[in-house]
Amino acid sequence: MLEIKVDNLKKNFGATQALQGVSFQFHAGQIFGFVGPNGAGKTTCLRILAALDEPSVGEAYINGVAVSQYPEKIHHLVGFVPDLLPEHSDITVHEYLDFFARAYKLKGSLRKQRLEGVETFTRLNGLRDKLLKALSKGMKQRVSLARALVHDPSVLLLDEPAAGLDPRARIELRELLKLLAAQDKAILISSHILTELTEICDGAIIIEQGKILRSGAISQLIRQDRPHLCLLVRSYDNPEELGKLLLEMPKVIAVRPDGRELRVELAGDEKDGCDLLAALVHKGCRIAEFKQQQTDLEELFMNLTTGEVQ
Amino acid sequence: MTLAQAFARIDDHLNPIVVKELRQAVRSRLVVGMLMFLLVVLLGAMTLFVTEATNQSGLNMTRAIRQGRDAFEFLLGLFAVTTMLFIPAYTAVRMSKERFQTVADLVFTTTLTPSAIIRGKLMVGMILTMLVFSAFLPFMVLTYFLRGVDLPSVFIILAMAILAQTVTIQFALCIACIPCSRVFKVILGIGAGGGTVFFCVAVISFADELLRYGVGSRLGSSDFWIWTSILLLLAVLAFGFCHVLAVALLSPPTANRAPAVRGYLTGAWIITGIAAFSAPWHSLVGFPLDLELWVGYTLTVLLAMLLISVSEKDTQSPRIRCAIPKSRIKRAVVFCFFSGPANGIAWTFVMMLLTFALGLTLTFSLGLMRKSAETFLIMSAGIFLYSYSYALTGLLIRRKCLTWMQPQNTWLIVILILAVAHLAPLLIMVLIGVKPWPDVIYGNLFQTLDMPSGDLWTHLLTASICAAVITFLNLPWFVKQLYRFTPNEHRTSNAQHSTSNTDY
Repeated sequence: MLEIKVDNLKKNFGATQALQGVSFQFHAGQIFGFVGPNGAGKTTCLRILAALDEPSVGEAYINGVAVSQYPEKIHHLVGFVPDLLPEHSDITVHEYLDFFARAYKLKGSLRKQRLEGVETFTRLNGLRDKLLKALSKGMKQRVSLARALVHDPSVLLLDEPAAGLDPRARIELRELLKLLAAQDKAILISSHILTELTEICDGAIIIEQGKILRSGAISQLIRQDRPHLCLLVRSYDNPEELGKLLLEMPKVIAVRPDGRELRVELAGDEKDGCDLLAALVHKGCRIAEFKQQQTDLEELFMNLTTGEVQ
Repeated sequence: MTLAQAFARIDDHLNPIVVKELRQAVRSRLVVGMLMFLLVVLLGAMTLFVTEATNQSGLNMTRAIRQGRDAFEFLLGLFAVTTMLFIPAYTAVRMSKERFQTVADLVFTTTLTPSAIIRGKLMVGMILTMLVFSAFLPFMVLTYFLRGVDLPSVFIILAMAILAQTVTIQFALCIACIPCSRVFKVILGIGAGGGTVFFCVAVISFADELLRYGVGSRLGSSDFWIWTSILLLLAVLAFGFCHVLAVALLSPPTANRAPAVRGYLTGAWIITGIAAFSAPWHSLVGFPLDLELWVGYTLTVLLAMLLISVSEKDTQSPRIRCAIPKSRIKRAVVFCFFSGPANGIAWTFVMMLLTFALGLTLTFSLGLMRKSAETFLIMSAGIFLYSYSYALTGLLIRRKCLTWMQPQNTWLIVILILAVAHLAPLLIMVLIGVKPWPDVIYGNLFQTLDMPSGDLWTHLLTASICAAVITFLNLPWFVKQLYRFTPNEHRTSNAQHSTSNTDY
């Protein structure tokens, strides 16, 4: 299985250390989110993976090929979508994609077939004869994605692909990425829109000031951030009495009132949550609402990062 | 194979840049507008010429027999201005803009090589020239039916004009590839544009000269062929140098950019050396002018290369180290050709040493005009050693004192040291009122250009001491660079890449 491995990557721009020993890995079929404030080193890392920059120290490997040593091989494997949209003048969408297909040395019927394939996949069929300059941001982003897919790469690197897109374009992009992951492509996507990443990513890498703060599967990251079960409980009767009762229950660590609801921290898993509910009902409490509170990537990001830049 | 299949095969082998650029050019309002404007001007001008020829024929014989030549000269001037100024500017501006935008990055993520990009851009420029030429051609043919122009002259002049414009497009592309800020690029563009205007005027004047006296009468003269060969050689060499340099400038900084440039210059050094001392050229200019021209040209090129070399990165990227041979003997051979400041300095030094060795051998073996050749060689050696000292001083200062500075800006320090070393003594002498100024101002390389041969020895001695001291100070660094010139210890597995076969 194709694997992307980043090993102790460091990159200096003069006195600025853009990356300070970044290491992570993921494999084909996974979507990994690259999360961090502006200037955290996300783009630098993506550019190194796309063989556009070279690390000062360390190495990145794609399918065992060292990126900085064999950039020509990496170009076949990687599709890169930068944060800037295509701005060529006097060229249509189809001609633009045809140029990149030729640049990847696709010939004859294979080129035609591939172009038709990506145009259909990214829903650009209706736009193929439109001039690139006349397209909206969302359409241009689709063109950018089609360009990166034209040579059918195994790895897709996307730098802020959802920035500036309207909700519809974002949803469309999200669906396309899910389809690509299902086609066994490894996708690394940097984005500020964390709620979206939570929905599509299998894992995330949280980076700040060139250092990785946390990385792994999203569920695992959230669990790491909040080891206790967090519950939202609303009583039909007096919430104060329910609060007192809850504090007497085993494994309950803390109870905080939040309007008519109570936020309960429980040292345990979902089974302990079920036991707690059963115990409350048994004691005659009338529970109107009882649910597990989800921590999302946004909350995790805010907890971990300070927002400082180098 | 059917015609359609043949076209499809040709289409597959076309340079992607050519296809893209031509598609853009035919939609470009600028290109279409320029062509339409040219056609209107051509039509108007030729109507005037033909009307005048019809009216004056038989009345004013002197003017009548010049009508064809005047019309052709006008057309040639317009053609030269369009193809040597407009098309190179158009190509260069497009190249430059793409270099600033993310376009270059996107192209670099493909399998297109910098060399293919430059070739494509050059080809587009030439195709546009042919397009312009096709607009001019009917009108140029018409001039033949007027009087005063012969066909051999027309063909030779047109060939010359097309060769000159090819060199100009390549030169413009080379300037466009220089990685610098927008402001600096504009200044460079204005400078290069000015130079091209002079070149264009020179070509038109030369063509006028050929037309006036006719080419046919000169074809029997050996001088004509020697000069033609030399000009052709220089044009081809200049074109080749601009091409190799443009490719190197467009390549990523981590790539091994130097071998092509240094290899080309070494080849050019051999070719120009052979040409300079070949019998026809030797008989035309004589010794020591042939030696002086060759050494002067080599010195100029090597000094420019020295300045570029000291501005290279100290550490070689994994990509470069990947290409270093494992064998010690092969490594010793390729050392001077690889990217890196120590490598560049070594190459420059070896090339200059070879140039002087050859120059001295010729001077002593020919024995003619020995004094003049000797003086020139001493002067050149002085200039080289002074420049070498300044360049290595700049490198030392950047490494030891200005560690925060990017290596690619080392040339600025060298220029600054050069300016201070030349201006400071003069200013001090003016301030403290030294009169008269001493005959020899140590360290002033420009003074060596106009010196009696006795004083040149003093300069050479000073320059040699400076060069020896600065070499000694840089020696530990140089030795370290030599030791570092080894292939990657752990070459990663050259794992076969697999691209997925996805059906969209």
